[in-house]
Amino acid sequence: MLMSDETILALAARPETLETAFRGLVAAYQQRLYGLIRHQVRDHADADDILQNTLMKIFRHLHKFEGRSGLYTWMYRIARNEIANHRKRVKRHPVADPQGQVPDLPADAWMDADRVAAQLEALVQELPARQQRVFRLRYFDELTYKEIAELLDVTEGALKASFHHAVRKIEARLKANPWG
Amino acid sequence: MGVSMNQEEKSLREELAGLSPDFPARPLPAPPEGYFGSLSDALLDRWRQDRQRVRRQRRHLVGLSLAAVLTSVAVIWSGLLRPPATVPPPEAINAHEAYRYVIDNLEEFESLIPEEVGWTGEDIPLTDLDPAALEEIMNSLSDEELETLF
Repeated sequence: MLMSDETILALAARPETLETAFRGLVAAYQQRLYGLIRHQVRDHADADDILQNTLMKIFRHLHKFEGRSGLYTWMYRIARNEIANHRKRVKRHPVADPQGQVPDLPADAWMDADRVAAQLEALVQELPARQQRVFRLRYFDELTYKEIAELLDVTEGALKASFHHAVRKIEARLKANPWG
Repeated sequence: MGVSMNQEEKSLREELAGLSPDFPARPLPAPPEGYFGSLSDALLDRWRQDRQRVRRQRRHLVGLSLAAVLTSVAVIWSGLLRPPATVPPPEAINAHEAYRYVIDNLEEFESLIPEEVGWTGEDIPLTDLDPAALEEIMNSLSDEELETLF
């Protein structure tokens, strides 16, 4: 049974139950945050690094959370910042393999997922900017309409319409040009 | 309520199934087996280590601040307790030294020196003097003094 946000926040407010709150928060959100991060980086080790930094930051600042947005929306922003920081670090210090090549191919186990993601990404890029954004947040980041509405300040109805348009356009492109 | 990836993924799949049954599922490689089971312990260890490091840094800072405060207090205290410049007792000064001191610091003794007594009365014309007194004065004057008079 996963803890509710209210329980996590109430436990985090008292020093004697801080660890319980931490365990509850990790159990409730680790898979979802991992999914968000893992979609953005190819390597599990990188995803693990980013996820740990994200959760540490969340926990250090949990007492400052004022409830102006949903807890996951707040954590989502922190995770996004950590992903951006990771990308900056990688850009500054690219890790070369022993032959001096920057590794750009994933391990075999991830090949299919990455191939599908790359093809889907190419189709998403053909969408209008707003539909792209909504599609990414809903499909790749798995945010609920309520969470997306908090982030973009758009009504849930309008978001649903954008997402459905995007899905139908991608579907039409896929039918015209099936997965190769 | 904390929504797990499975719940949210299920909700997304249901929505997509209604829109486009053949739409591809979100591609996501799974993490190594047991990863999620051990993550909270690993994070708690890291968190405890962070807290210990912060405590050590805080103690170090408090120690440094305390040392700085104590040093400042010691410096101020030593300044307050320093004895005033001592004046040697009179018997330790001989007459010559006393004389030199008075000469060198004459302005300190100005209030002790009586003002020069000057002529405060009105000048008396020589012709108004008694002739006998006048003669006596004239006799007491030197030739040079007499020249200045006439």
